[in-house]
Amino acid sequence: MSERDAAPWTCPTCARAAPREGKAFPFCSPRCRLIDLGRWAGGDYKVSRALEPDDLEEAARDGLPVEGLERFGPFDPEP
Amino acid sequence: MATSPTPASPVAAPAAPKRAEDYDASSIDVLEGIEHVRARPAMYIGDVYERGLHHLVYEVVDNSVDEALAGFSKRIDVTIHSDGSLTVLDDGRGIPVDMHPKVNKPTVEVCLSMIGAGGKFQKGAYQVSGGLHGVGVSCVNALSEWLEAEVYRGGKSYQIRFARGKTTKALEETGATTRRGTKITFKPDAEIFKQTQEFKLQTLAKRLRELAYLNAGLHITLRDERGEGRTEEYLFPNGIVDFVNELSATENTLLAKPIYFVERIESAESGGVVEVEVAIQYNDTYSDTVVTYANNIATIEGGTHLSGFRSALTTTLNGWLKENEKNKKDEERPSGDDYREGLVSVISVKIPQPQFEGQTKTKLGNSDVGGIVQTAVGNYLRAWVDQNPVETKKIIHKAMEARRARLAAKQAKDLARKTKDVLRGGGIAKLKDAESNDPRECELYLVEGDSAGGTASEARDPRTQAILPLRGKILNVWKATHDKMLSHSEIATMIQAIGTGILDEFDMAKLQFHKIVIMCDADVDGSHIRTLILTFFFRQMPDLIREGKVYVAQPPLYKVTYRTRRKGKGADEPAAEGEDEAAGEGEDEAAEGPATVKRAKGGKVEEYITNDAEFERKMLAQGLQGARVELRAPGAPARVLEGEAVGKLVDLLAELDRLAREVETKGVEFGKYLARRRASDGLLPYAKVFFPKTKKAPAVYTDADVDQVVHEARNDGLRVWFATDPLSEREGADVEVTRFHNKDRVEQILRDLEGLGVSLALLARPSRKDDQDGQLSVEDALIVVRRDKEAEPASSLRDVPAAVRTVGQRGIKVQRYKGLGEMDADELWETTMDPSKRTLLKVALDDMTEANRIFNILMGTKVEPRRDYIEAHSGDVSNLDA
Repeated sequence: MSERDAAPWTCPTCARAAPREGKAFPFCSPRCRLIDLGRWAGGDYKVSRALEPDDLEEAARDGLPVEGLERFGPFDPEP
Repeated sequence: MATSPTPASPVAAPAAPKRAEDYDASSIDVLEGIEHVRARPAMYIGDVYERGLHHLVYEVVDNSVDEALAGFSKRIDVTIHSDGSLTVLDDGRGIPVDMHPKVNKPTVEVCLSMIGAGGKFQKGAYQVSGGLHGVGVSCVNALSEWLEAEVYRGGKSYQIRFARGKTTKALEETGATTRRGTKITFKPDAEIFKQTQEFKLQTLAKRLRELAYLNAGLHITLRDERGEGRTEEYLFPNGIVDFVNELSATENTLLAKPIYFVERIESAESGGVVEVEVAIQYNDTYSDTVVTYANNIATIEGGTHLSGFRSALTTTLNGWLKENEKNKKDEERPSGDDYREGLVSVISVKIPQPQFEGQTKTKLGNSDVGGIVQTAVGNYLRAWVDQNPVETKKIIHKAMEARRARLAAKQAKDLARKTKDVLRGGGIAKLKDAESNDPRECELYLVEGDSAGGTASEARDPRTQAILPLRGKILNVWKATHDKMLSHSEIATMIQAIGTGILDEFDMAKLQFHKIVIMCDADVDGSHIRTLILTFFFRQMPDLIREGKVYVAQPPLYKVTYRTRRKGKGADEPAAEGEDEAAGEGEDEAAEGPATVKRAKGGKVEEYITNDAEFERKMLAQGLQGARVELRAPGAPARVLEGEAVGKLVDLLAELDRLAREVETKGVEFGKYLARRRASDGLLPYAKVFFPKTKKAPAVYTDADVDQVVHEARNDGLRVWFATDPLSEREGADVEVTRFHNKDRVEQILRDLEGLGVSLALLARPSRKDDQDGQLSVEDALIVVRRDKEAEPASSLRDVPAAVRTVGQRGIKVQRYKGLGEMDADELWETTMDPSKRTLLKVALDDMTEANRIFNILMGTKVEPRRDYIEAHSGDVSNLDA
């Protein structure tokens, strides 16, 4: 832990050094913080994995948004 | 700089200079008005304060620079004297001393004493001339207490003196000289400059330095004879290229060397040849530094030359992009502003008839110069980008980044505006709000999924607990991807509910909930969504985490149900001892409430367990109650371990398993490692010493053994790689040395196992082929774990802990929750939301740096570690926790 604390923190947006005591921490500057917020707002941060059959059941049960269905016609989870 | 194009050097290569003899009396017009200058000095030099005072110096120096521009002068010496006067000396042609035909006075006298006189008022003497307003040195004379001029011309020196513009000593020849040039010394008149007559070294230095940059090869010396004295020299052989390098000296530059060119274009409108000189560099900052000059005067307000330059830069680079990256749509190309991020440039134009406009007369107005600069920059830059595709791509890449940043910033500002001043009472979409208005007792649950959100809304304490469901997931059937993300509206809703605002508006005092609880499924998807939410808080609302307002709920992963046999004794209830231990170890300091939730229900006990590790510990503790281990080593009598011995065996084996994995990460199969145990003294190999070329791996048991092998190898001229030395290079090494750091501990465990009467032969794992033979039966197995009537066979000692867990688990109903949705409202309340029973982990800032790292891995900035990470952590939810 101490080793990691000692290492300089880098700004998540521009990868430049960002002082821990800085006003914009964890960013180097208000500008980089602004860009990051824009990325959140734009849906740029995404964790993707391959679709599995269970996911479709879950989607039907929980009413999750499903994109691309229009290409396949109406979705019926129980064939 | 040696490889740069040669900058325009007005000193070395004059633009068609006239012969020295042509500069004589006939080229001077005579106007009058010294009294007018003294009556209204501000009209001529701007003001009578500091700025006007220094302007006097610039006027005189500009005359010398004109000589340099015309190619007759290389040196200008400026000296500030201790009596408040100042001298400007150049090595030009010297002001003519012959009689002026119209006024019958020496030309030098006319130049210095008659307002409006001077070479620059006629195109003939100089092609291009500096001087801010071209008022000429006669104004300086008029505003000086005294002025003395010395002219060195034609092998003779001359002198003339004035007081407040009027001749006090007529021109006279003072002797022979080998020098050439003009020396003017003057003392500003205190009657005019009432406020200050003191020249500032820094002010003069700045301007003289600038002039030296703008006139490559011009050597300017600035001496200050006041006080301790000081001398500065300015000489820049590469002119504005040196200037650009100086401007970006502290930054990381994008181009190996600045782009530079100079071009001369004829223009009738500007009265002759217009010279355009441009130097361009890029650095990794976000601001632009573009300085523009017209006739050596800083055009602070810009003007036509600047607009022409910008337009050419954008057009040329986007033109290249259009040709080379055809898949980019027009609207995806960087804008002019995007190309200005990190731009460092000096633009210097020289125009026969400059027009200055604007408030401070520092904006270039010549309309034709815009087109001239645009053409010149466009022509040169088009050729440059064709010849330098790599550097062009760097510039374009930077501009694309700038464009993305600009769009993101716009989106962020929209979001901040949208989420500003939305009040909790105002009905925030999807938020099931709490009744209480006291933020200190209110909790906001961020719940993964609408369905779990519904259950949580039913389960909650409506007085203090608010629920905000976040979908967090989108399925894309077309791309066959399952994406975890926070949508724009979810982010907006979250910010609105929290109430603090965002960016500069962020105000902790407006926080609506003093506990923000993230509640996600205890699976990989859930952990990813939790990482997303946590990262959002860490980056955009770090104060929430600093002040300990963010928590992670611990929904159960397992429900175990068992029967209570007899009151009081509870023989079948999981061991009380083991349970306490498990709870103690698993607890985070910041956790509140018990680690597990238990409830009795009609002769049954239900227990909820929040993670795999704890589940395993619990089942192990359960199995250890009354377990016996039968060991049937081949050719040896069967041995049975009972009671404490079983516990000790399991502890030793669990630790050995961990150490075995460490050995295996060094590329050595643990079974083979054990096989190298020296029979005589039970020592294990000290290190793996491997000769990749001969595939030899001699056994080494001590530090000394390693030293000897290394020593011999080095004597044979071989190169040795040490796994522990980050500086040594593995590639191509002749010997690889990998130390086994835990050898002592493994040896001790083996001795302890022997002490328990366990045959170490049983540590070997059967080969894969044997495994495929089918289920191991209790009868055939060399190892059997028994508890009550249960029996579980094991093929290796290393499988004993798992077998103990298995027998412990028998008779207990285990339900593994896939998600929050599998619980009903009662269960969710009791296990996860009830403040008196639940476990909440408080998120600390230190944890977040790790979460941020995981986030970066998940975002796929590096593809490789991402897959590694997912493989290593799928199902291991607790690692993602704060």
